[in-house]
This record gives sequence, C-alpha cells and structure tokens, in this order.
Amino acid sequence: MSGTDKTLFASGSDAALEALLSETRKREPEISEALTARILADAAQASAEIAAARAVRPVKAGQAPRRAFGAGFADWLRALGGFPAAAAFCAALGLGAATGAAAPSWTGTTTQSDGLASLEESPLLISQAIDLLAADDPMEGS
Amino acid sequence: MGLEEADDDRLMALFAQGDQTAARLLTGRHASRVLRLARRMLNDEAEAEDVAQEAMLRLWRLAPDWRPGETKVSTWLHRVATNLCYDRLRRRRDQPLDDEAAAEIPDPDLSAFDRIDQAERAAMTRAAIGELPERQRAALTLRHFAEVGNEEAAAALGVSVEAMESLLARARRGLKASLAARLGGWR
Repeated sequence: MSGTDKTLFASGSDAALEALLSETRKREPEISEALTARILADAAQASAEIAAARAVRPVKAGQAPRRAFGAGFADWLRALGGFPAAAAFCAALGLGAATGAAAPSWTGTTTQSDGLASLEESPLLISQAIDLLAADDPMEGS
Repeated sequence: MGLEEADDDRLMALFAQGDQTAARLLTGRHASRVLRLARRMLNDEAEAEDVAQEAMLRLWRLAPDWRPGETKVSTWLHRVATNLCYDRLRRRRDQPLDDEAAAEIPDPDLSAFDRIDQAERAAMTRAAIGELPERQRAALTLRHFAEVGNEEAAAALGVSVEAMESLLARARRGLKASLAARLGGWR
C-alpha cells in the first residue's frame, strides 16, 4: 500500500481491506526447498507402499491375474533359494506339490508369473504354482 | 501433451502408477497454497509446514482410489488442510500465543499508519487474522491466501456458497475492527 493509499486505508472500505490483504499475501515467503523435499520423499514412500499393496491384493474369481504379484512372489521365493525354498514353503502349508502342472490353465494365460498370481485362490493353485518354480531349479527342473 | 499440461486428475492417475514427476508437478501446483492456508490459520510456521506435509501425504495415499471428476485436488487438499488446522487449534486452545507470534503484535504506540512499513502492516494483519474465529479465519484465508473462489472455498469448508459468503463478510468486519485498533484511523 503506497502513500497514496493512506486515504484509501483511512476510508475503511472493502477495497482498502483487499489491498491490505493483498499486500500481506505478497509478503508470504515461498515454500522452502526443505519442505518440498520432505513432501516428495513422502510421495516416493507412498508410491512404494501403493506398489506393495497392489502386489499382494488378492485375485478375485474371474479377475485378470496380477502379474506383479506373481512376479514378486516368484522373486521372493527365488531370493530365498529357489525351488528348495518353494518346496519348503509348500510343505509348511501342508501341501503336497502337484504334479503335471506344466501350464497353469486356471489363469487363462500360461506364464509362470500369471500362475503365481493365483496363489491366494486355493491351496491346489499354490501347489501347482510351486511346481512351476521347480522349472527354475537346475536339480529339479531338468 | 507434456505432463506439465496434464490436469490434476491425470497426474493423480500417473502418480498412482508410480510416476514421481506427477508428484513433483502436483506439489508445485498445490503445496504453496496449502502452506499459506495453514500459516494463516495457525500463525506458526513449523506447524503450518507439518500440516502442508500431512495434507500432501494423505493425497499421495489416496491416489489409487482417486475418482476423476468427483472433486478437485485443490478443493480436497484445502478441506483436509483446514480440518488438520482445526484439530491443531483445538489442541492448543486456551494456550497463550507463543513469543514469536506475540512479537508480531505491534505496540499500540505505533498506531499511526505512516509510521509503519509494509512488513509491520503485514505482521499486524497476520496477527489480526489470527484472532478471528476459526471458521471465519478459514474462509478469509482460503479466499485471500489460498486464492480460491467462493465456490471452491465453500466446498473446502463443507458449507454452502451463501454460508461461505456470510463467513467471509463477518471475517472482514472483524478484521476491520481489529485493524482499526491496531493501525489506527480505520473506521
């Protein structure tokens, strides 16, 4: 508000208030780089959480298989040690590995990841999926 | 079309798919206004930053379930930020102003308009806004500091446009009275 506006100010009008508020708003400091960095770090963390939540979301009947889950689960089992770990996992669940499940027909597609995407649908699918992992194992898959 | 031109709904969808550029653009578009809103509501920079960060975090977490066209991102953010500010104000109600905020309230002797500079006037205005009732403060702050229209401000506050205008009118009257006492000469 300039010196000229002193008269306006003295008038107590809405325009004077608007001018004073505008003047005040313009003096507001910009958002700091540190806060922006914190917000973006939160965004990255939230992204990771969203991706993780998607990876474990159950597959419903008739729903397209979720490749992310299948791939993630297979990676996890492989990281644990491949087929032996998968077999142990299967045993821990009290499941015997099914045989003859070279292609997972229950998904409508035939990739290994898609097969694993259906892990939560039934114990049988779990065991079938575990069988698929056997193909990774140099000792068991040949 | 580059991402810079994408609307907020599109950016939310991209963010939900993991696009961090979308997060950067949404932050650039909205975080400053949310921060200004929180600053004027709370009169405390650290608390205002916490509110801005929390409101943005809630936006990120909502992204997978965001429904395009249902509400504007800005409206949603302002509503969340306003409610977060209300929560904080409730918690510290009855507490005296901290030293820093109190320091912004000028000495009554400095009442002559031409004896104070812009910075002092701004400080007095901020202090006067801080004394408004919460809902009036929210209305005035949304309108003048978050710079949103009456309709969007009403949506952010969860009231009708008429109620928003009423709140705004009362806020302006209260502000004028307070400033008259602080700055002198305002009738």
